[in-house]
Amino acid sequence: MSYVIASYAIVLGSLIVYGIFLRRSRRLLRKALKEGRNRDRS
Amino acid sequence: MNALRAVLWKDLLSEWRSRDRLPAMLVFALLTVVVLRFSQPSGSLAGNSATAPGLLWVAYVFAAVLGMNRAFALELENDALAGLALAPVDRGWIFLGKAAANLLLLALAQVTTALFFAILFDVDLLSVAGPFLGVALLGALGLTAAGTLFAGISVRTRYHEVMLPLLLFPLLVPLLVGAVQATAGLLGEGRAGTGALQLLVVYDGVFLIASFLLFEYVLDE
Amino acid sequence: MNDRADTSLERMARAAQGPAGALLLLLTAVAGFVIVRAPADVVQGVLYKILFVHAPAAFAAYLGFLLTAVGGALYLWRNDEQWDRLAVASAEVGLLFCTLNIVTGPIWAKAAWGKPWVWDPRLVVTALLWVTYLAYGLLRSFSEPGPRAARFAAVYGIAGVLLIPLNYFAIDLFGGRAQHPENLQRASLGVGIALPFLAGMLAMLVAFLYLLALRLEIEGLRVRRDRIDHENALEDSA
Repeated sequence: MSYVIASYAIVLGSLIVYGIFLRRSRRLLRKALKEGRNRDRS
Repeated sequence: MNALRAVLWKDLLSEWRSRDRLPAMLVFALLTVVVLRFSQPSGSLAGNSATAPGLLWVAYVFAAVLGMNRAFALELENDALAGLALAPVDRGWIFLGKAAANLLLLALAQVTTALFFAILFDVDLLSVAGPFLGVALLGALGLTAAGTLFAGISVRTRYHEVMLPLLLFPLLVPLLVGAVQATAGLLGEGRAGTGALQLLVVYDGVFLIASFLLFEYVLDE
Repeated sequence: MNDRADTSLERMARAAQGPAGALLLLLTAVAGFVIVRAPADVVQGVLYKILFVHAPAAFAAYLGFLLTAVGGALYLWRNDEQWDRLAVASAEVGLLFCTLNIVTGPIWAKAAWGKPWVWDPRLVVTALLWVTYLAYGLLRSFSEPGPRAARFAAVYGIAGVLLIPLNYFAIDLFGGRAQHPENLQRASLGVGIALPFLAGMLAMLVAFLYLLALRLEIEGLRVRRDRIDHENALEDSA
C-alpha cells in the first residue's frame, strides 16, 4: 500500500514541481525581456 | 558514384601513408580480448560458449569506435570539413565513401581479432569461418553505417571523441543482439538463425538508407 | 511588448495553456476519484493501481520522443525555428515522463514480484528510450548553439525514433522468456480497471501537453532574450 502512495507521490510531486519551475522560469524570462527592451529605448 | 570512389580512395590512401588507424584499432581490439580473457573466472573456460560471442563483439565495437573517431580527424585538423561540404556532390555519396573506408578497416581488424580470440578463448571459429565472416561483415556494416553518421556529427561537438560512443551505443542494441545471437548460433549449432540474420539485415538497411539521406544535414556548413 | 510570441506554434502554445491547465485540474480530480474508487485486485490488492500512473507515463514518454523526432524532421524540411523549439521542449518534458515510468516500474515490480527488473521487451525498450533521450540532451549541450546544433539534434532524433521498433523487435526475439508482469496480471485484473485506466491516461496526456506548451513558450522567450542580450552586448562594446 505504501508503495502505491510512494509511486503516486513521486509522479504527482515531480510533475507539480516541474510545472512550478516552468512557470517561474516563464515569469523571469518575461521580466527579463521587458527590461532588456527598456534598456534599448533609454 | 565517382564521389564515393574518390572519398574511399582518398581515405584508404591516407591510411596507407600514415598507417595510424588500423594498427591502433588492431592493438586496441587485441588488448580488449586479452583483458576480457582475464576477466573470466580464474583460468576456467567452462561455460565459455555462452559469453564468448558477446565478448568478441565488445572488442569489435571498441575497435570500430576507435577507428571511426579518426574518420573525420584528418578533415577536422586541416580545416577541410567545409571543403567536403562545399563539394558539388550529393553528400550521401561522400558518406558512403567514408563508410566504405571505415568498413574495410574494421573488417581487417575483425579478421585478425577473430583469430586471436579463437585461440585465447578456445573456440572453434575455423569450422564456421565462412558464415562467421558473413556475420562479422553484416555487423560491421551496421556499425560503420551508424558510426560514420554519428562521427560526422560528433566531430563538430565539444569532446568529440566521447560524443561518438555516447551517440552510438544507445542505438546499437539491435545490431549487437543480432550479431551476438548469430555468432552464438554459429558456434553452438552451426547455424546463425534466421531471426538474428533478419535483424542484422534490417538494421543495416535502415541505417544505410537513413544515413545516406541524413548525411546531407550533417555535413552542412 | 517584445515578449510577444514570434512563431505560430508559440502563439498556439500560449493560447492553449489556460484551457489546458483548467482541463488538467478537472481530469486529475476525476481520475483521482475514479482510481481511489477502483476495487482491489484479488492477487495484488491495491498495489496494481501503480499501473494507472506507470503506463500513462510510458505513453507520454513515447509521444514526447515522437514529437522530438517530428519536430526535428520538420525543422530539417522547413528550416523554421519553431520546429526546433518543439523538439527541445518535447525532449525535456518527455524525458521527465520517461524517468517517471522507469522509476515506478521497479517500485511496482519489487513490491509485487520481489524483483525490481525483468528482461521484458517493454521495460527494456523504454529504458533504452531513456538513454537515447539522455544522449540527445548531451548532444545538444555539447554542440555549439545555433542552426548546426538544431540540425544535429534533428538527425539524432530521427535516428532514435527509427530504433524504437527495431529495439522492440530485437528484445522481443531475444530478451528471454520474461513476460511483462502486467500481462500476467491483466488476466486476473477485474473488469473495473478500464475506467480508471482511461482516466489516468487522459489526465497524464493533458499534463504532458500542458507542460509541453509551457516549455515551448519558455524556449521562445529564452531565444528572444538571448538575442536581446547579444544585441545589448554589441551595443555596449561599440
